[in-house]
Amino acid sequence: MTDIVETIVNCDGVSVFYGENRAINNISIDIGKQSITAFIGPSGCGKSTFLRTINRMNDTIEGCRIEGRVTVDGQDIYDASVDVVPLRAKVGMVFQKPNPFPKTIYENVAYGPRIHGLARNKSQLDDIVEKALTGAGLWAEVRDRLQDSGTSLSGGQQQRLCIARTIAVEPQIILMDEPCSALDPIATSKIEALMSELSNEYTIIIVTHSMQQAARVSQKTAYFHLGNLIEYGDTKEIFVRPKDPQTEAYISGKIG
Amino acid sequence: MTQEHINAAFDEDLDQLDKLITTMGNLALSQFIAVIDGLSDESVELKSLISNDKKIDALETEIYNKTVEIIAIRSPQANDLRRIITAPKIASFLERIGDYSKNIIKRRSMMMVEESDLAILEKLNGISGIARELLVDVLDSLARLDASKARLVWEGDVELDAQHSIVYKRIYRRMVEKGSSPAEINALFIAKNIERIGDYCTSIAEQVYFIVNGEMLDEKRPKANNIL
Ligand SMILES: Nc1ncnc2c1ncn2[C@@H]1O[C@H](COP(=O)(O)OP(=O)(O)OP(=O)(O)O)[C@@H](O)[C@H]1O
Ligand SMILES: [Mg+2]
Repeated sequence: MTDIVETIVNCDGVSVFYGENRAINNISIDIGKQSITAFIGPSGCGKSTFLRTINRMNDTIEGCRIEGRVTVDGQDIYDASVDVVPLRAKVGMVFQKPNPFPKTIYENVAYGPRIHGLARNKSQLDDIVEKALTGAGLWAEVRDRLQDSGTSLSGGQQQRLCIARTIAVEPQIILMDEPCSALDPIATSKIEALMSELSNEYTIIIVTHSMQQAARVSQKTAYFHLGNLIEYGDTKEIFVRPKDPQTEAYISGKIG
Repeated sequence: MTQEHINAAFDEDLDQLDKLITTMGNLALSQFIAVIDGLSDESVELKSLISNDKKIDALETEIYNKTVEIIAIRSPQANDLRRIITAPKIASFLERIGDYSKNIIKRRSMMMVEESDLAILEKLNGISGIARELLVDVLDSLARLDASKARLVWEGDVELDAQHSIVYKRIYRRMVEKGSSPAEINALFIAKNIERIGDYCTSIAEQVYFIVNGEMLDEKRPKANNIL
């Protein structure tokens, strides 16, 4: 395994329950800084649930309970003193379905920096918006229509708008839950290229059902099955010579 | 991997690829066996050997095309990927084996069988027998994806190298003592071709090992003390 240069997320003995049901079973994993990690596994295995433990999005789900320890940048994020609002800026999230606010393109991006107090005046805010849209590879396409509604963009553009919105608040980590499943191959390629670009600055964790996508974009891959972490290692190893027969069967599309 | 793919068409593709390789392996083997027979029997037909050689060439192309198609359409991973990616390589080794067999027969047909040549031919028979065993075993290891058998072939080639070296030295010494004749020159070529066929068996064995284990046999292969 190529060694993780610097760990940014450390999960230690994490279990997640929905009421009585255990969805995640005692998972420990280290995620490297400024890299792309892919979470793969069959539907219902717990990828989204586990992803959401990293920015406490599970807190919003009634009856959901977590055990174990998750640290981000050395900080125990489940500590009583942690405020989830800045946490979710630091650990941003992009969802399967692009979900821009029903506001202007400009407002979609400016909203976060404004509430987090990242800009002192309008011109600073303009700069942040331009920088985020540029970072998301969308600036050239929207610079002349910043006052149009975010929902007037195409699906692929909307997803890049959501990425711009996420990076505008200067996160360290971006969680992506099947960010391309609603996009065509061209829009998907753009997001993938963008991810590689962004991983120079940010840590990205992506849940994907596309084996090709996981293989193309990530350096590390984690395979989940029935709430367990079955195998975690270099993406190149996982896709050429997986160690676990369950991983082998899943990525080869075989009946398990 | 006996497990089936959820997409049955993928399994059909893999079966087709396997069949092509098996057919090609069988053809290469029957070429080589005809060669061995031909060493002691002048009447072995060159014509059928040449037409088989054309079939082998055509199969190599077919395997190559099938491989490209499967990769493009099925995006194979892991064990599947290793099996598919090695197919054209194995095919090219089999093609070489077929080619060397044909060359051996060409050389053989240039040899007059005089009393003095029989001794040389006998020696060639000895090393061709070892090469045949390697070929049979490696094709078997390929058909059953048996890495330990592949490894045995890989190690066994050292015996062929050693025997080839002995035969080579004998023929060479005779040439020094009695002056070279066309028969001896041809015999040297034949011996070398047989030794090369053994090398290709080793190369196929390495591919089988890679398919099964995902890594190459990387230790130093035992080598006979070889002047060549
Ligand atoms: N809000 C919820 N309430 C109750 N159970 C839930 C909830 N969300 C998920 N689960 C259960 O937890 C398990 C894991 O679900 P999760 O959504 O994390 O899987 P997933 O791997 O992301 O699946 P998919 O690939 O289909 O998105 C499943 O058994 C699911 O039914
Ligand atoms: Mg999910």
